[in-house]
Amino acid sequence: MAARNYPELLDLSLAQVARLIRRRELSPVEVTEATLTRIGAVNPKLSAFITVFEEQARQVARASEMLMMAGHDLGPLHGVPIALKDNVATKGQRTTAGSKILADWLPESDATITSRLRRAGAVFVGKLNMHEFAWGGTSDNPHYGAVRNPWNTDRFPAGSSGGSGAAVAARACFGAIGTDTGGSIRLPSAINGIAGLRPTYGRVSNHGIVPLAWSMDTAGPMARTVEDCALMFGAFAGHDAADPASANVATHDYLARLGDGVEGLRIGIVPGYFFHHLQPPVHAAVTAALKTLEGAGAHVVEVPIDNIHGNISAQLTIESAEPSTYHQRWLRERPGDYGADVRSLLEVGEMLLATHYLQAQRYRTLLRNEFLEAFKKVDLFLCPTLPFTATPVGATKVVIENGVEEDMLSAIMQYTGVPSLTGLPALAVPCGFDADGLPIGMQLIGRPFDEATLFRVGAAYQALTDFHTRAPKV
Amino acid sequence: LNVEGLVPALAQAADLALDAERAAVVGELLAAWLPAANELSRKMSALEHQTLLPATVFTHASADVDG
Repeated sequence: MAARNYPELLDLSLAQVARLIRRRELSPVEVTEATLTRIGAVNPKLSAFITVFEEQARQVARASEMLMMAGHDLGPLHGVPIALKDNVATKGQRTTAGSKILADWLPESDATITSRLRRAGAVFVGKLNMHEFAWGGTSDNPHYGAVRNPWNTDRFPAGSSGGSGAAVAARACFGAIGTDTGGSIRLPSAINGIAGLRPTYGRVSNHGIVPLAWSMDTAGPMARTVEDCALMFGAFAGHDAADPASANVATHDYLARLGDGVEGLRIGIVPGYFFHHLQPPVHAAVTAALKTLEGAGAHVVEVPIDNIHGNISAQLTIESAEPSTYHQRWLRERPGDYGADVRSLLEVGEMLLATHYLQAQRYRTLLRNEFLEAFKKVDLFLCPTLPFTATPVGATKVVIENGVEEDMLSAIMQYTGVPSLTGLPALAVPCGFDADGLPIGMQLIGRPFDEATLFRVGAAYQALTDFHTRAPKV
Repeated sequence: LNVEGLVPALAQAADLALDAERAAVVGELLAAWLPAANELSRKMSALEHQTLLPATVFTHASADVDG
C-alpha cells in the first residue's frame, strides 16, 4: 500500500476511502493516523471531540489492515475512521451525552448503531461534543467547551450534533453519527456545509442512545457527500428488536439509485412557508438549488399544507415535556449540575399542561396526514434547512429580517420541525455560501421509509455542484 | 401573559423547588411559549379535528397481531 500525504488523504470522501481500502490501495493504519493527526491539530480550536480514542483506533486500524491483507473483508466501512456523538453508548468507554451528570458513565454494552458500525468495519476515532443532553441547537457546552464552526471559529456550529458537524467539515473524521430530535443532525450539517440524514422515525434503532424526546428521537449519518451518508446508513439502518419503536420495514440498497438523476421527479414546495421569513442569502441559495434540479429535469409543484403554521409551538411543547419527564429525578437531585440553558428548558417543561402536550401530539397526526396526502402529488419536498447562517458563538438571539431579534431556539426549528413532528425522513445538503463564506443548506423531505429517493436527489445535486468539495481553512 | 404567580404555583404542583431567581427565568420562557401552545390547543379543539388521535397511541402493527 503506497504512502500518501495527509492533506490529500483527508480530502478524500468516505466512500473513496472505503473503496481504496477494499482495493488494498490504502492502508487503514495510514488513514487512521492521518485522521488522528488532524484531530490533534484542529480539536484545540474547535472543541469538537470530548474523547479521542488514540490507542484504540490505532489498534483497530492495525487489525483491520491485517484482516484486509489476509483477504477478510469486514464490510462496507472496513478501516474507515468514523466518530460518534457522545450520547451514543460505547461499551466500557465514557459516554457523557455532553453532560456533567453522565461525565463518568461507562456503558455496559454498545448502542445498536455502535455495534452495527463495528460489524461493518468502522474504526472509531472518538466521541463528539454536543449540546448538553442534546437539548438545544448551539452546542455551546458549559462542561466540555463551546464547539466552534471550522468555517469561522467565532461562529457556532449549530446543534445539538455540533461536534459531529464541525469534525466532519474540518476533515477530522470521514463520517460521524448524529442524533436528531428537532433538527440536531440537519442543522449542524447545513451550518457546517456537510450532508446529514434524519431517517424516518423508527428506521434506525435508538437502543443505547441517551434519549431526548422519545417520540421524535432518531439517529443518522453525517458526512461530506450524500454518497457517504448513503454508505453509512446502509450499515446500520433496519429493525432492532431491542428498540420498541423500531420499525420492521425492509431496507434498501441505498447506493443503487444514486446515479439515477432527477428526470421526471416532482419536487414540492409549500407556498407561504418554505421560502418565507429567511435571510436573503439563504433564500437565494435554496432558490438556485431548486432551479438546478429543475434544469436537470425535475418538476416543481406548489402544494399547500393548510395547517403547517403551529408546528414550532407543537415542537417546543413535545420537545420540552418529554425531556423533562426523562430528567425529572436528576432535575430534583442535581439541578446545579445542568448548564443554565438546559436547566431552564427542563424546568419550563414541567410547567406545561398535559392538554398542551396531547394537543401537540394530535397536531402531529394532522400535519402528518396533510403531508401524506400531499405526497400523492409530489415525490419529495424541498426547503431551506434553517433560515439563517452561522451566528456568533454564545448568541441566544438571531436576526432573520428587518432587524428584529428573535429567540434562537424557535427560529432555528422553522423548517426542521416539520419532519420531526411528522416522522418523515429529511436530508440536509449543502447548497451555497453567504457573503462571509458561511455555508447554507437545503432540506429534502421524503415519504416514510423512502430515504433512497432523498439520497438519489441529493447525489444528483452534488453531481452538478461543488459546494460539498470546498474545505474550511481551520 | 402574566405568569408571575403562575410559575411558583405550577412548580409547587410539580413538586419542583424553584427559588425566585429560577422562577423569573422560567417565567420568561413560559410567557413566550404559552400563548402559542394555547393557540394550538384552540386549533386542535375545533370540530373538524375532533377525531384525530395523538401520535402517541399504540398502533398494533400487523407483526404484533400475527404474533
